Amino acid sequence: MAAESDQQDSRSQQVELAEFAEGYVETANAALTDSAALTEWRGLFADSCGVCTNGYETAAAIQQAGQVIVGGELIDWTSSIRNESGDTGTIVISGAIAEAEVITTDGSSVNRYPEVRPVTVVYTAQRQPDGSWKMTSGQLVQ
Amino acid sequence: MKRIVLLAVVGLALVLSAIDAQAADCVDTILLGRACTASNGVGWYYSAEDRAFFSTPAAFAVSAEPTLEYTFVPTCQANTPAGAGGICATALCSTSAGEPGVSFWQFSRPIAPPGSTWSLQDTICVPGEQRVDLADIEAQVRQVIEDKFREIAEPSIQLAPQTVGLVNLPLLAWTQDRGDVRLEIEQPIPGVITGSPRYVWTWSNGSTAQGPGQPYDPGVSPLEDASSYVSSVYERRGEASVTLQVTWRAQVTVPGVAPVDLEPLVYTSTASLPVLEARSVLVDAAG
Repeated sequence: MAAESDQQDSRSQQVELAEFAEGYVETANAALTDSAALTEWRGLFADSCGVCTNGYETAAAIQQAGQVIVGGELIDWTSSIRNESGDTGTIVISGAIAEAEVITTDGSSVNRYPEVRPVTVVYTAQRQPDGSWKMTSGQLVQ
Repeated sequence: MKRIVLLAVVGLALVLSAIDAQAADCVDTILLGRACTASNGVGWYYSAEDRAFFSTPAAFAVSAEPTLEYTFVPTCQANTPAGAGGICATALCSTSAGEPGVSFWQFSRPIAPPGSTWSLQDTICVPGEQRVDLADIEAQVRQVIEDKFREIAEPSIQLAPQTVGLVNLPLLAWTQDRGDVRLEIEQPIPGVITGSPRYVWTWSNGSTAQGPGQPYDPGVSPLEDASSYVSSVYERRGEASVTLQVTWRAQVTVPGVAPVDLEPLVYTSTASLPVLEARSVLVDAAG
């Protein structure tokens, strides 16, 4: 019975992590153009997640400069959960990052980012005392 | 079975763009900022006992605590947590399940203050994620050569004289020297196959020679300088034949791994011609 319960807990945690991964990607994509989503994104990762921090700070700096991001979302993505144990899980997110352009409010182009395909990032997520999850590390592997 | 993909073929001396599976690649995006792939411990290693290559996992479970960060480096003397290098033989290990793996030092340090000293926390054996048997590489190399490089699989033999030999006069044999061959592969494992040929000739009269041989050169007499040629002299008329055995000693080199010998590839060909006896005939010069 105990083993059955453990299996159920594990499945439940997998579902939680999958939902967290989906929410993380949707929030990060929205954060490129929405300042409220940008704030929400910052709450989904710890300082230790370098790849998360880099992305957030890049998007924040562009928005603070009054510029607009067109494109740049994670597209065609999938996620898988593995190696979860206790309050930690590994989330592998694969997809592509769409071509992006940074423009000023009058439409002048400031910077262009080519499409990057494929992209795979391995994140570690950690359950927080309040029961929510945060990305604590992220490593680009492809 | 996975196919080896030949990137290109230029004659038989192939030098193509390098593939470096271990180099860190960086991408610039808004979503990830500037992000680079990890190079610490991600790569291939070879287990002689298993005759197989194994890839280390790109990432594995970390019992992370919010206040600590971790890094993993193969247990090689040259590796440090600050500058992780490649995989060495001493880092090969067996997991508790008996699978071949790579041994990693697990270091941790506090996230704050930045730049804190790493401390060794554990040593773990991580199983390889993908296995590529050397036998598969050998089979694919053989198949590619036999499909695409018939001149290697069926070495040609040239003879002089071409159609009829004469008793007590040298018969010459030669083949085109292919030199060293280099093939780049990307599947089932990124790497380079190199091969060097060794030519051995066996005549039907029992004489042997080595090397590719060479065509008749009017400036070099086969009678006076026999070592310049692959040649043999038949003392009786009959059928003369020569068998050429080309043995390719091949190696596969995978980034970060010392070259590994493949089973030699051996190809043979045989050629023959009749040997006749020349007889002097008196001729009336006046007609």
